[in-house]
Amino acid sequence: MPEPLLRLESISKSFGSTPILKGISLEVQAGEFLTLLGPSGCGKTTTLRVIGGFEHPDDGRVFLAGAEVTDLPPYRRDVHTVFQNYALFPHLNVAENVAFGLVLRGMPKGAADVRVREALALVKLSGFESRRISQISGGQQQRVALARALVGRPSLLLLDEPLGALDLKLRKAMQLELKAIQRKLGLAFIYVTHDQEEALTMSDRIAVFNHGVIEQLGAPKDIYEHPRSSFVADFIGAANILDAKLTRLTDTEAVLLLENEVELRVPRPKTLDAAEGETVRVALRPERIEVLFSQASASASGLTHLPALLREAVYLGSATQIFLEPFKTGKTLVATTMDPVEKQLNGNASGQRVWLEIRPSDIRILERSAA
Amino acid sequence: MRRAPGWLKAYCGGIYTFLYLPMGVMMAFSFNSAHRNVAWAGFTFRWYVKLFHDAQWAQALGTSLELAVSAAVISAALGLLASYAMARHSDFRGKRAYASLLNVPMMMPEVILGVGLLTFFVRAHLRLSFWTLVVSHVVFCLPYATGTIRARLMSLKQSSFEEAAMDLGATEWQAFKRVTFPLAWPAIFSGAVLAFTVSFEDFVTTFFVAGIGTVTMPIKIYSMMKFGITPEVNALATLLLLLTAAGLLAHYLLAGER
Repeated sequence: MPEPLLRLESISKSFGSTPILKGISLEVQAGEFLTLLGPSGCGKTTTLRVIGGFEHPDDGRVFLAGAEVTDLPPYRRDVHTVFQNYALFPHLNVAENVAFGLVLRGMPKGAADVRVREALALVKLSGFESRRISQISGGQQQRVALARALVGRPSLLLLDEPLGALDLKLRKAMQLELKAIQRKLGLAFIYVTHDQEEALTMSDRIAVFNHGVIEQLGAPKDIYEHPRSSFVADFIGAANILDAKLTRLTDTEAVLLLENEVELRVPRPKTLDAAEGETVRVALRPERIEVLFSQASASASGLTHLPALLREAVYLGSATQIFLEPFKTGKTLVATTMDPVEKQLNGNASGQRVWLEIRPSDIRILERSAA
Repeated sequence: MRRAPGWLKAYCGGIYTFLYLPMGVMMAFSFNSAHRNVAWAGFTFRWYVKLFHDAQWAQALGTSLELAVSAAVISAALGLLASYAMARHSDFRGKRAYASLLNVPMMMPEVILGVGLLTFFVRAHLRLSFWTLVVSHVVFCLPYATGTIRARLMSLKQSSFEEAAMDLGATEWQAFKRVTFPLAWPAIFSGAVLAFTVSFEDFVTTFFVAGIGTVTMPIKIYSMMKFGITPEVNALATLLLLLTAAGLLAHYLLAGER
């Protein structure tokens, strides 16, 4: 196992009496794209600032390429940051902004000019060298900030919601472009965002933050398919979260009583911290629920069918969202289907009797229920 | 758009008349060729010419300018240091007391400030001189300079310019020199101009702590008035007024930039 590029060792940080980070540990390999994802105030930006050297942790240590940098100021760390508000220097033009770090290092002007031109070409801003910062658009400023951070060839780039100020279309385009640049240069990126879709699109791994701890760390697919808590299941994509009693637990299988009503046999998850007889939360993705408009013949394929009342159908363009009531408790489930269902809905949809088809292996057991 | 009722216009008109008419009359009479401020006897620049040929007036003007420039430069320099400390460190022990105590001289009645300073200088066996006057002016100019500079540094901090510079390899001093100072310069200059204006027109504190022989413009005007309000006083006051107004205008133009 090679020494990771970055290692955080149980970092803690409080502002006043408010704990912001509660023992964050993390490793980033060279060339990796890691996203810190979470709602605002979860500690993701503070983690980035600890890595950049702008906050000193109360406890814990930071290593870059094996060397401890916990007490080093930002200018002694081989990482650069793309700030959320870009922080481009308004009294300098585009080229002077990009060259800022090179000039400080005492690079000769000729060599610096070449590097600046290369960096601006990389972000597709050739010819913008002498523009003032106030004369270029937000999207272009974002690119200048990126070029300025890349030009010094750091081994690790920190990005704090860099696309937050851009409109949706530009944002999507920049996501792909950022990812392409990261691959091309083979740089490690640590990327902070609260946008789960952005995280899923770009990352090699995602660290899901909540209240100063990492709830889950893994590949996008792993996190989406196997969320470990209802927070993660709910924050990444949409999820139906239900209560279920663990009535029986064997080495391979768990028997669940959903909402005190429906019994299901599901494969036992690799990690499970609940015992037989306890109530747990389970998650089911809306796109994993099939809505049938006539009763299907009992199939032998291991599928489960539940009768339900259809409450509402919402047309979303590429998909339709269907709200269902399969339980006596009145708990609503959401299903998403890409199939055209207009015809079967017969205009007035509410109260229609339908059947849900679910695959028990799509049910994910999360944490113990607090209740 | 709603039109203001007549009574409101009349009321506002009355207020502004009361505020500015005396100054207008004074300026007008500085061009009056008669010796008394009673009747208009024709237009003249005579009083201004006379003023500029009077060595005493020129000396008072020189002293005032020298004093105001010194007080402004020192206040801006100290204000920059104080503001930098407050903007740089989000929290330190006694930060609020530090910030409030800086502003106290601005709110303190000047008579008390004057008496206090005079007592201090006498007790400390410091001879009253031009430099005791400069120190005294810095005391009440400092809050004006600091206020302007601090606001700018705070807004610069919001934009993380200094952090960006340090991220790119600048030490704290390099970040200050290459980024913070150039960006804060308009505010530093405008803070100094405000301090200049405040110092230039000060009478009360100066009256207490000016040593014998140090005569500033306001002091000179006051002593002249013992012999009645002559057209020369009008001319001098007009110059003082214009200079002060120019300073304030410069301050607001610079502070409003960006």
